[in-house]
Amino acid sequence: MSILILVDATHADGHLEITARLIGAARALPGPITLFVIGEPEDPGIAPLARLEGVNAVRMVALEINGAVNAEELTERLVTLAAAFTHILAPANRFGAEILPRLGGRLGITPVTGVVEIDADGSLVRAMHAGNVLARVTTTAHPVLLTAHPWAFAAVGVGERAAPVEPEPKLMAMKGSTALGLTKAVRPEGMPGLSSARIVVAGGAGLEKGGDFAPVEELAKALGGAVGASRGAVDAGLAPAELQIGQTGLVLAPELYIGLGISGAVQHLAGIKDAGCIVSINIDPSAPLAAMADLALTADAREAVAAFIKTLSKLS
Amino acid sequence: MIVLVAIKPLIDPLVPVRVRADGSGIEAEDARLVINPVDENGLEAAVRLKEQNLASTVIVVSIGPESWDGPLKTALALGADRAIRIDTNAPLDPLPTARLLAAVTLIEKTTLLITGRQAVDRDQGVVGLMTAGMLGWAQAAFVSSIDAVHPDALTLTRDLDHGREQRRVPLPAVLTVDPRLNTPRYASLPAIMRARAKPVERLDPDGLGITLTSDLIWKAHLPKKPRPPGVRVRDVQELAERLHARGWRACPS
Repeated sequence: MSILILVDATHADGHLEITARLIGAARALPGPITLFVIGEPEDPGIAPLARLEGVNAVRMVALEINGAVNAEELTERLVTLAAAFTHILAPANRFGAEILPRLGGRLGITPVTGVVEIDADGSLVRAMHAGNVLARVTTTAHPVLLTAHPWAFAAVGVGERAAPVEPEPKLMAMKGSTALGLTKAVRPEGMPGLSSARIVVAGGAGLEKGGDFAPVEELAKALGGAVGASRGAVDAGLAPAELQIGQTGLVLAPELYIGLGISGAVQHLAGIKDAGCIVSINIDPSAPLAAMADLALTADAREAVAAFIKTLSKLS
Repeated sequence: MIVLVAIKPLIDPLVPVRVRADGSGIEAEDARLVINPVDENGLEAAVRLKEQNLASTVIVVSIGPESWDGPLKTALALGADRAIRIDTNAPLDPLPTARLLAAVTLIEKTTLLITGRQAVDRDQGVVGLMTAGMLGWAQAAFVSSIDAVHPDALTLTRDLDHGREQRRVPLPAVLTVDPRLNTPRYASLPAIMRARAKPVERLDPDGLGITLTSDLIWKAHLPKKPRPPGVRVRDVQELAERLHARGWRACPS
């Protein structure tokens, strides 16, 4: 048994935390753990990955074009390695959702996606139907390909001892398929990344009337949390697509989630069902999010936020 | 350019899902079938390519039982030129689905295969890109905009974890699309009437020489436990007090 974990370290957002949790997931399985890290070897964010507990080896792969992972080329590299591993894991984000299915196609294996539980007997539990159903699955494939939700697993720590880092040949850009540019998400200094934040404040279409996302940003800043959005808010142009939480966006489980002006479509609720505490501030008391929330306030979110921040600050 | 759009009919996702008492699967009796919503975005994109004279033919394909002809006729009413159903008794797992899809893609001399990024029933999100891997074609996942169509390539925008990427993808290619790509049209009544008279072509999987075995074993299904009922708070003061009591604090400003 041996396990390969894919790490997209091409951008600064939370790959150490994500990987620490995937190692936590992989520890249910016997066998040494190798990280396959895609990024710049000189990046200071790389070194701590090799010191994560339970890591036996790191394979470091640089890109010909910085930041642009070519799914086709990466997959071909993984095809050459796959036979040496019993399990290949990736996070259940867009990176994992793009690479593992292609690898599965090349190897004739169905990846098990969206895993939230790994049992010692190798069976996997995954969420489906917008998070309303949990299915227990096993697979006859070798290797087992799976994407796991980082939040569902406890993170391992960063230790003193570093695993050996072996450089791999660079990944070249494929003939023809060319990344033309990347519009990077910018977020205020000090704000945590959405995928690993303990606190998430999300805004919805209920904020459209005011024309901006200021209440969400202000409350996130006051709580030290990250900004998220519903699809309604993204469609209304209030927030960029990478902040979308839900069935076709990010599935998260922060300790505290606050929805502002979010009614709670099925596909949005799919992304927050496992949050520790769910708060809704929305004008419509009959909205699904208000019905599901642990704490629901019927109010215009745009008006309520300033007073809420003031009141909580006084108590704090 | 021939565009093939793979669609999956499924139980209307707005209907609350019920797990069978024995955990063997999902209760599907009397269920109304609709086209997987994200696949409708794929179909809409293909029909628009045809309307702009950038595609010659739009074919929809599905792999499943006869009851799936209804949604396939809807696809014809929405602008597809032809509809093909590979006939199976029940929906298949992703591995045989992708194998059949790859076979039909080649038979129909397709240059562009489009699917939704995931079916919103099982939420696996693997069939389109598995097919791309089997064909050895270029792929673009999570496409939110088709920016330009060149004779031998497409320029696309896709949403990634850390931003939006624009990419030039050579043809032939497989796209998996995001709901943001477009707003699907509704079928007009005359189009629905015309589609009723059009055939859904039936293909026998045995004739394609592909084994339908899966590598997945679905052991059990469980409904997600509902969250305990929440509290309706009176005002901002009570909300702040209750969150404070749970240990949440405002950052020092």
